[in-house]
Amino acid sequence: MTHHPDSEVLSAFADQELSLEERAPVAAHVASCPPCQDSLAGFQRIKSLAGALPRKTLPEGWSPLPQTRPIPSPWEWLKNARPTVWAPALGFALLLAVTAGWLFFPKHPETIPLEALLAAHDRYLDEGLLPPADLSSGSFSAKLASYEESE
Amino acid sequence: MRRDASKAALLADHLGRCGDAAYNAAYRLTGNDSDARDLVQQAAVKALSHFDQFDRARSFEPWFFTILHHVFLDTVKRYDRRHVVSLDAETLLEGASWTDILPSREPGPLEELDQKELEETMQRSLNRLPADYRAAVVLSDIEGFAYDEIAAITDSPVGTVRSRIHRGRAMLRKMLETYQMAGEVRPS
Repeated sequence: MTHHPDSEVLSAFADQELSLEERAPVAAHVASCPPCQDSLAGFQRIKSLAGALPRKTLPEGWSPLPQTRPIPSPWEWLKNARPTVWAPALGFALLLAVTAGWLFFPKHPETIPLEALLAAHDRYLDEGLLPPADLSSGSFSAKLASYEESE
Repeated sequence: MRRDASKAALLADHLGRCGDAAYNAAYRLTGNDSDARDLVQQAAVKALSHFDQFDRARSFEPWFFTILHHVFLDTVKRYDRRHVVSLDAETLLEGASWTDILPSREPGPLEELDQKELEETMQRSLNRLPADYRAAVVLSDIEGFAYDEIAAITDSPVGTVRSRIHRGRAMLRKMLETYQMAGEVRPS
């Protein structure tokens, strides 16, 4: 090789990235050519400066992946959960259930304590607290009478 | 759900082995910790969502670096807006002979800098390289990948990789000399 190799070839030569056929003539030329030796040394110097930069490592305790955990089955959750977790949760669930039941379950007439109502009605009649024209001689008294008969 | 969890565990395992190298490359590509974390995190999330495409018979590291490189190029406009614009970088070589640009063999003032100054100067110079050249130099000179591996990572022909590395190094040299001449780098 009589002419200077292309500087790109010298850069690849510094990386030992030339094929054997390319490498031999370049090596022979560089051995006897001070300007090419300087060029080669320049590439090697940049390469070594870059390679000597301190290695950065992942910051302590930082993970590049978002922290994901598999969702446990309810049994696994209960098995592993502490009482401080599940006791308030259970209490809250019970409170919700009771409130929902109280709000949404219909109150059927059968559930009204009729005996207590009748007793009160009798007492009010005895004490004269009910207006006779309104309840004692009205339809309500008739209904009560029919109820007592059916009983 | 459980399949996703096992993929995440497998990926975390791989990242445990090459996470530092990925972060180091990301740091040198972006020039700071915050952007490097963003870059690695985005690459990790992307890797997780495409984990089925990973051929387990092959090495994980080049595959992850391919994703990292894609993410880097996707976001490079955003990075370059924040960093020094390198519009004149292409012209740094024009009109200069190689003997002007390249150094002599004797150790120069750069070698006499303390480690911190040298790192700052090198990083600043890397930041000014066009993104493709920067990636090629980082992958070659810092991460030690071979040209054919870089070609696979960057999805470019080997000849292009060789050219980018060469031009990147030449620009780096020119910029380092410019910093020295401007007195921004003071020999210790």
